[in-house]
Amino acid sequence: MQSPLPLADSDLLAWIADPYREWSQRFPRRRAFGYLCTYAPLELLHAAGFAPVRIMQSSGVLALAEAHLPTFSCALARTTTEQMLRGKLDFLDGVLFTHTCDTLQCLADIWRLAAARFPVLTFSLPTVLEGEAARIYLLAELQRLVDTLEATFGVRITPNQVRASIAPYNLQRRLLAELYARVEHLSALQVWSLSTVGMLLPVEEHNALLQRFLDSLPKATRHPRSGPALLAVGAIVDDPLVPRLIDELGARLVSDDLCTGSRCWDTLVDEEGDPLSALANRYVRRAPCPAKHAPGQSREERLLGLVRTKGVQGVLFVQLKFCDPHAFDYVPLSQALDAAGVPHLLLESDASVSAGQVRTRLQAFVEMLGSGR
Amino acid sequence: MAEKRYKKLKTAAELQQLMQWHYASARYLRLGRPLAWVTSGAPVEILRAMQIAVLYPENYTALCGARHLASSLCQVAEAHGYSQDLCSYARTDLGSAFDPAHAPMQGLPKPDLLIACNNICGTVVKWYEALAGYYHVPLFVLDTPFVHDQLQDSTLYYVVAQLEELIRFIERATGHRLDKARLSKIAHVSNETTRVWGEIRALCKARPSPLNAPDLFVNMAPIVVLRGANSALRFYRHLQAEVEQRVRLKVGAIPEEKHRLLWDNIAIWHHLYRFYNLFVDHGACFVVDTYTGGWAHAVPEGEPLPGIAQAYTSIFLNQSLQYRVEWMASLIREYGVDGFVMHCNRSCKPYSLGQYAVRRAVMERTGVPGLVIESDQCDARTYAEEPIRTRIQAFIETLEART
Repeated sequence: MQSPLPLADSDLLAWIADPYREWSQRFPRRRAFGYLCTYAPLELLHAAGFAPVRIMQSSGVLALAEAHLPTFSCALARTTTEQMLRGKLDFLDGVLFTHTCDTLQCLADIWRLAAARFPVLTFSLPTVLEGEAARIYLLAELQRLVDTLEATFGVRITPNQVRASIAPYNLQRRLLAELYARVEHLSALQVWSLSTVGMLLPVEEHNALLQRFLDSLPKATRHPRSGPALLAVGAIVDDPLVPRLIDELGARLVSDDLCTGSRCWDTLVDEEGDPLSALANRYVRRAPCPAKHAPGQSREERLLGLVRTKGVQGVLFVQLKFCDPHAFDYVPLSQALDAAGVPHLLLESDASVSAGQVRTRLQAFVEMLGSGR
Repeated sequence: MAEKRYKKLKTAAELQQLMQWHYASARYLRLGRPLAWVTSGAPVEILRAMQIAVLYPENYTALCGARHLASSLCQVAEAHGYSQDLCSYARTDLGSAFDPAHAPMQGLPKPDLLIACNNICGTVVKWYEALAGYYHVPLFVLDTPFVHDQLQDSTLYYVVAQLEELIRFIERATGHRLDKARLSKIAHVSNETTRVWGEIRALCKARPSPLNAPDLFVNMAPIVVLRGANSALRFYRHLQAEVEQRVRLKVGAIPEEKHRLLWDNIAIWHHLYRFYNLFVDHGACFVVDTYTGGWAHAVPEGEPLPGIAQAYTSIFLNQSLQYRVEWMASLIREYGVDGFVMHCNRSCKPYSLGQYAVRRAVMERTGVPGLVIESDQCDARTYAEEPIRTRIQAFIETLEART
């Protein structure tokens, strides 16, 4: 599959498939800082002089990680640990773990005990993302991260620097929102690759890439794509399999509620006022991940809202095996869809699930939607 | 019977009565008091002081596991869409809620309110959200941020503010008010009970050890479900007297103690005696464990709320793996332990995912060998005895080669 806009002569998809090996050669003047979850305050890492780079799953043999994690840990935990142990992440100056699920909580300490060759920092954001007490604590925890970054790397992070780092991330959020707004003219794989690469590139590079791409789109409306409209819900889609299949099967991916999708960019940070407060406020306002408790923001209502506003005909739950928060939320979310008469399909990814199986199940689902049942 | 290989405690009958009373009174003798379902790490002292009756689904589901009824209840939850990979306590409890007719005691009586504290795991938040949705009752989540490094003042302020909010939440939900004097009294009883429980555990430093892990697991129930109640304190004083007598008379928990072991993680409830007998057959006694030690930490004296906040945020499952390594190494020294066994428990990720890393670090620190056995606390479908027996055999041979 040809990417519409090559990334400095190389193919976007190839870059996503193996982003870490040549990261330092490609960006020799940037220092990379790893993170795993959408709750990482990228603006603070950026203000400390780093380019945040998301640590994604990798395919390939698991050999070293087996000695560090039991069989019932998710593939994200196992494959990232494998990469860490093999030294593939040594280009990073550090890694930030944010507190969301039990697995990431353990993984931070496991990496420390395994003597990762870079500092492993933690950010214990609250689980309850509502109320004044949580906001005050969150603010203190953001300040603690600033202090830790300053002490560990000998840098100064001033409010002005944080403010200066909020701007490019807000621009990225706006550009991604615009990209998603144009999905009816784009393939699922285009949207997926253009947004996924943003978690791997320095934000300035990604913004330039997105801007060029959006500018290149014709202003006049072409024929919009047809086919059943799908919404992807769940955790991590860092493999092109599902978007590629959606395109091949003649369906459309109209939006998502994913840890690697809209939940990365859904709410802007205020550019006025105290920058740490502005960051804290976004945490409270943004769409919550299922590991968070925010009763005022019902995930069922959000899902039904997306279904209504985007004209969704079928929902794909894309889940990692052994991901507890998403497995729990699958029940009320799927029940809400049942009650609303919206068909849905659960695709659970695991080493034991082949691409052929995913294709067969997705094909049957798309055909069912296409036939109007 | 397998149990015959254990010396039965005389206090066993009292324990049974106490637990029967606990469940019966929550069902029949509440005298109009509202009923809360709470997690094992919830600050129950506040609820008791506000005259709220409490039940612990974790204790109930362990009991379902011991009666070999958990797996079928798990299947009920799975039929409702809950993945088989989720915690078996959560699945058993949800299964008993969906199908009480097939659950022990016809399920637990319906709660009026729910209180989940995430100091033990993130699963309880999702599990209690599911219960709140099913029963349409209010839920309070007490958030105790995980302590990777040092416990921060900001964390304590946050937890204290939530405890104040918890009191207002209960007031709103039930109309009951907090009696501060009563809270201090209950916190004192709670502390006395945890102190006695800690002393009973410490009596197992004796050779031979007066108790084995299944004794600790069976006898921990009141410290969890009746913490702060005088009846629990009375029971533990009786148990303490009996265990002290065993130590004086050099009566061991198992017939012939050759190896002294440490246990890590929740029990395998569905094969409790049968599993530990695989060790008893080799003269191996678990003289100490980490799990039942989770309820041996007192609330600091002084103002109750900051003390409660500190105690409940500092429990070992809310602290780093590095903390666990230090703690296990110190238990191994204090109890004269020759080897440790880690139950790598599919149901409990925060307890289990780091066990390989902890095992390596504890072995380096102490020179004592450790064995990891993968199983599940409640769901017997994952239990395979033959490979376990083989691994235990090999582990015992390692221990014997060292002596």
